[in-house]
Amino acid sequence: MAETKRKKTLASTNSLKRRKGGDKEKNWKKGPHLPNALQKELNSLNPTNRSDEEIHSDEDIDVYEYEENIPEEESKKNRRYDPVDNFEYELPKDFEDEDVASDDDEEEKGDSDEEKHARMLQDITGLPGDAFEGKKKKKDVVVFEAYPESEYNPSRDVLDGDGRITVDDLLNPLHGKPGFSKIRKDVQRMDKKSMSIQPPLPKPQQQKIDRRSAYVYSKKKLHEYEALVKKNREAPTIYFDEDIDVGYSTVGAIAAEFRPRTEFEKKMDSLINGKELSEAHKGDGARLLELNKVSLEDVKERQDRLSKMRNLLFRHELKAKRIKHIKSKTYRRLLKKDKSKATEIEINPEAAKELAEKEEFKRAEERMTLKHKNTSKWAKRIKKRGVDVQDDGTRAAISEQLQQHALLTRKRNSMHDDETSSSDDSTEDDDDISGDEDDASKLKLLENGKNRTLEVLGEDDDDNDMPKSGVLSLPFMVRGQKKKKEAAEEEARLAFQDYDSSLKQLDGDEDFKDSAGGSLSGRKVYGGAQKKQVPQSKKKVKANTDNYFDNTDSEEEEEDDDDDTMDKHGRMTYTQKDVNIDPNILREESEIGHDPLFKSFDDIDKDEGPKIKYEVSLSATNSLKKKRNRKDCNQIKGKKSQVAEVASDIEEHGDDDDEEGGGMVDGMITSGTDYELPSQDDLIRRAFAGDDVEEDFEMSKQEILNEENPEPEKPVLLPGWGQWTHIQKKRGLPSWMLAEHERAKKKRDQDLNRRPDAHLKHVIISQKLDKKAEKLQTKVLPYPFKDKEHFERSNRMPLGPEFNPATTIGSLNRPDVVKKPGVSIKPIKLRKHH
Amino acid sequence: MVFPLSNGTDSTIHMRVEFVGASHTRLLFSSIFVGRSSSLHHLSSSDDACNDAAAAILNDIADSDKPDLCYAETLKLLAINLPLTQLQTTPEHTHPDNDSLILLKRSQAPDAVSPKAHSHLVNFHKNMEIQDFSDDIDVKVKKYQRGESADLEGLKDKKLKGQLANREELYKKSANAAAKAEKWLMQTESGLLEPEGIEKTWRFSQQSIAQEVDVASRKNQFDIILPDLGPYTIDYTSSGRYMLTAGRKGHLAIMDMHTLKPVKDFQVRETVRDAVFLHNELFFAAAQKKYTYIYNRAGTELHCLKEHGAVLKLQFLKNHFLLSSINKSSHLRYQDITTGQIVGNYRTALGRSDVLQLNPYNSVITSGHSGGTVCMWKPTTSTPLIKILCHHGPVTAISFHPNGHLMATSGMDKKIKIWDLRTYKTLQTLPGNAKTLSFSQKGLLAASTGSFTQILQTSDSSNYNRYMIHTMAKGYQINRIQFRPYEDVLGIGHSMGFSSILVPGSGEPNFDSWVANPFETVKERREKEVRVLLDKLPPESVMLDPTKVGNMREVKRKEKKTKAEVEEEKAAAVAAAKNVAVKKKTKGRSKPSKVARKKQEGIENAKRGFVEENEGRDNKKKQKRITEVNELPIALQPFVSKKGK
Repeated sequence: MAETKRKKTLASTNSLKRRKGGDKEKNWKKGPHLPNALQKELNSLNPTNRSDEEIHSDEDIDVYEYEENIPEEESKKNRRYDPVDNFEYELPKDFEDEDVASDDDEEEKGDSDEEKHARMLQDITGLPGDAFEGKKKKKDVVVFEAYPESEYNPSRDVLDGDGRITVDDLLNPLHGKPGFSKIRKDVQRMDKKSMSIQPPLPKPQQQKIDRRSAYVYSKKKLHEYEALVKKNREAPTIYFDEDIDVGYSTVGAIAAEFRPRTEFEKKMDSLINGKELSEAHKGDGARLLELNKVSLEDVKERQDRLSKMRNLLFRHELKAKRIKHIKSKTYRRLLKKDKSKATEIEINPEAAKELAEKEEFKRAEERMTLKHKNTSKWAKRIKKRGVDVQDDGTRAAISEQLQQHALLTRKRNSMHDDETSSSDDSTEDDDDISGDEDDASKLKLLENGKNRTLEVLGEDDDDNDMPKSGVLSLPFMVRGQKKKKEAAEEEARLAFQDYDSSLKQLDGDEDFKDSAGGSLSGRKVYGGAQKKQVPQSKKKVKANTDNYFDNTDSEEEEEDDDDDTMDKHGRMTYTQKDVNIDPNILREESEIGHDPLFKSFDDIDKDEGPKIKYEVSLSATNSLKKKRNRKDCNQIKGKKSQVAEVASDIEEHGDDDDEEGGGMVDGMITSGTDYELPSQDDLIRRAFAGDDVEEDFEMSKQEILNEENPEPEKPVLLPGWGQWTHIQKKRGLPSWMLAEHERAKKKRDQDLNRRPDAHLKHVIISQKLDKKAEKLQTKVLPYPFKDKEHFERSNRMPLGPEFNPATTIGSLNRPDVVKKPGVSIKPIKLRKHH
Repeated sequence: MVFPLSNGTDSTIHMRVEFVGASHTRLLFSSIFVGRSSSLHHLSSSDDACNDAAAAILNDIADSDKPDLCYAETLKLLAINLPLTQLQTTPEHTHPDNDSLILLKRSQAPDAVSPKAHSHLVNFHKNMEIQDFSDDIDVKVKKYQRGESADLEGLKDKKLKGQLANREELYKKSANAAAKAEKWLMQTESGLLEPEGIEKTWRFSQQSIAQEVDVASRKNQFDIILPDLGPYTIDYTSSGRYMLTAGRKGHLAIMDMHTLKPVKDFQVRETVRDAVFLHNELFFAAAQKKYTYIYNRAGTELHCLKEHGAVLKLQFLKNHFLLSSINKSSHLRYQDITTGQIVGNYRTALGRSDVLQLNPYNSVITSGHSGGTVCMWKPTTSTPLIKILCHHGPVTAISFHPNGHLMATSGMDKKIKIWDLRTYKTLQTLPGNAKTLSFSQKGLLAASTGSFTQILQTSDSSNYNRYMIHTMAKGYQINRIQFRPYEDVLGIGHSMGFSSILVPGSGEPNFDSWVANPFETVKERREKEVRVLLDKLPPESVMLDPTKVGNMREVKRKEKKTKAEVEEEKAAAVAAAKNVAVKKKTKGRSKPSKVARKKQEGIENAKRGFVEENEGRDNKKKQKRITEVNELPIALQPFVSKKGK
């Protein structure tokens, strides 16, 4: 079968070729070549199978070829096989392989020749090969007609175009129908005027062109927007959707528009807005009661619940009763203990007090009965027999009892802070005082105290000699000590007064005579006199409101002030001893402090009357003494002209003065009785008080400068380094060191020069940064600004309503974008210019 | 001889113009107009004033955002309030002006006004415009512009340039409007003494002044003799309505200066060194013998400020609500009176000082010391901002010009110096002692010593000349002088009580009720208290130049970097190391592995710099500790506590 198939294909191809070329080319046969005789025989046997062409071709062969013998079975020699009647080969139904291009060499050869020719023509003419092929070109396709030709299965011819349907074909059936002639005319016209249509451009090119045109168009369109966009961009404020009415947005309004949507909402709605309910509400509300029905089950359930609760309560009661009836002591004790503990934890002051009282009672009882001090019969007996003889248990019992006794009788601070307890706490000195002689003892006590304070005072007065050397002689130590001493003195004096007053009281209480009080000691005159005088003077001041007293008062005050300032001067001048004296300046300057001073003191001298008080003068002398002391100190100190020192001196002194001043307000003090006129030296010093100020200021400025820009250290080598020989010594420090030092110095100078107070001798401008204020200034320029000046200038105007008129305040503070909340911003709409 | 006083009998009705916002413009304008025109009816001597007022309002309206809205209202008002006869009296000006044209266009809207009135309105406007061109307004505009605008020529950023130009335009507009409004809001002129011929101003005695002035002003001349309780100090509220006097011997009193009645006086039976009003007349602080107390107007002690110690001088910073004091041990303290917190406590270390003065311009506190130095302090730094050596001797008094640029000091060296605080240089040195100094609102300087008071005047704020003198009765020692705000009055506290004299031209004639209102009602006071409290400034905002707030910080020196900054730098360095482009090298050298290694190395190098910086310190500490141990003799080394290591 395979054989036959091949043959068939061969034959068909051959026949095709002949039709095409119509030439006499050799048709090389391939495959198993049959001997001529055999083939002849074959042909004879199957005349329908092969055409004469085959034979013709056979004749053309003049080249010897090996020819294979036909196999026996094919030779049909013996006619062993039945002859086949139907030589037409039928393909199986599922055959599809129609267009298989033959891969036979022979065919290719034939083809190649043809192609060569075509190519040649093409080369010569330059026309496409198709032009020469014309109708000759056929598809090398074998079509097997598997189905009979029909409407649904058009013949090959129809497909290939030989039997093509023309417009006429289509028109023909319409012949005679209305409108036919018109169509035919149209068709004819079209046939006549047929013109060539340009083929469409390739797709990418077409797209490119489209895009370009679209770009140009949109560009043009966009240009229209340009002005609008520019305007918007430059506008300080853009307004969006100004004309949209958002409507009300109150909660009530929104709620009114509520429509139930979900199942639940609908259910609720039906319940709430149900007809029954609304109608029930409409009337007097009586019908509401009808609606208020309760189901039987609910009632039952409630009853059950209540009965259960009642039951539980009853059980609880029973339980409590049972507990109440328990008579076990241990149980009670334990219960009690727990309770007491609880109360203790609570720290209830009342309960605590009660408890304490109970314990107190117990203790008292114990002290009275001595129950636990081996007084019982049993204990006595044991004692009698000897404790050592007893067994361990008994001994332990006895010791326990004793311990309990000790516990109960131990001295304790009672709850009540009464006199007895305080007397317990008092020192041994007062031990001998009995309760009966209370007042007398007090008297004694007071006097004791008074004596002691007096002693201390006396000591203070006497012991004024300061140590001349050692740490204690340092000025600040001296000062400190003095201060301390003063404080102590003051305290002592106060205490003394206290004693006195209380003594007096006692005197009054016991109806002692005044003389008796006086007889207590001669020292009492001091305090007593003072005490009496003070109220008198007070009275005087209050009673006499005439000019005289008032004048003195005010002048005292002034004097005080003047004294104050004078002291400032004085203090300052003590430190400067060697000053060049310019007589002119002296005269001028001395006027300042001098004039008012003298004036006021003159006044005082005049006004000095009977009002000299002991204490005052004492304090005055005190202060004078102090002054002297200080002077001494200063001398020891030498000629230190530290501003700080002076300042501190003034400060202290000021304090003293003011204390007096304060006292004066009470109307007790008139001072300055033993004021000495300042000596010439003092006056000179005072006159030049301010002279050193400049220098000091400069020094302090230098200090600050050094602190901020420390002076570079002088270059030094390690000791012994580079000093071995004279040459090395001569060479001195290495140049790089010197250079560095130089540079550091220069830099420092530059820094100092850069300070704002560099050229102001009398001014120090602090360069310290205030960290807290840092937040008030920016560290970096905010974004759009590139220049500090622009930024700062743009900030210079305040924007508040206090600083700007209403006409501009709005525009000054308007935000960049003004829009209504909740309204979406629509894209820009182009408006035609009007 | 003329003595017009700032606030005389013709006390104009002060209408406050509230510029609240664009939405309220209409209402407010109309109300203002009513007030103004009625006041003019009451007082006006000339019709021009009326016209001017109307014109001003119209001008304002034209400038405003929604002129059409308010226009009709105003015109109606105008028609009602200003009789047409009056309107017609204005001279006709023909001034081609755009604004007027606009006004004309708009005037078509109202129908209630006769066309006659229209034309006159336009005329007002023109009139106004002409006046605008005067130099006077230029000066005012400059004042309200608060400095020049920056030069925008060199600005490359077009957007920013546009924005800034816009702003400037607005500023200019605002300043113009304010300057124009000033003319109508600040109508009262300050008083002066005008000598004729050979007369000298300082020869005018108080008696002669009293003859010339009105009764109300004459009322301000008085002497109150209180001989008992020592020299008095005085203090006024910022509106000048109330006066607080404190006698050294414990007498405290508040006086209403309008009625001249004491609101409250009481004695504390203790030395009172100083007393100041707090933010309003309801509270005041008194520095007493041992502590400082705060009292209310009824004399009830509210607080005892124990932390301050024995205070010599008090000052109150009303914008910051800080009470500052200097005490005997020369400690300067700031206490926030709203919270009670001590904000600052600084040792001046310059000796006792009882001179403490507030610079009203920047709230910097200045103390004068015995060494002749004057220190300026702010509440948040322990070192004085400025330290000036003013005198060769103790400083006795300091006072500041209200504009904050001038400072007057007096010292024991018999000199009064006037300083320019912008350059810290002396402008003028005057001879003479002064126990107390005071600048008035208009810049007069009063200095007094003993019983003698001298008032100095200047024309160009550099050269102070004698203006007036006043001598108290002999023996009176003046303790404190102070000008009364918004009045031509100088208050004097002295040893025999207190007095007040007339000094024409000392007070600001126009008050701004947003700042201080002498005619404040109780409700206004309450509202103001709340407002002021809301506007309270934090203590750190006190600085020498308050306009510097919000500006760029001046970086003077290399500051120590913060941790975050160091981290940032490190990250940047690492990123830079990562992004280093690798050079193409000869074969074998740019293998990927090698490149990666190199990159890693670079990153580590970048990191190392920062690591060393941080760890260097620790190492130093460690080394030091180790050396410490090593320094000990061997025998003692075992006993060094292990904790240290």
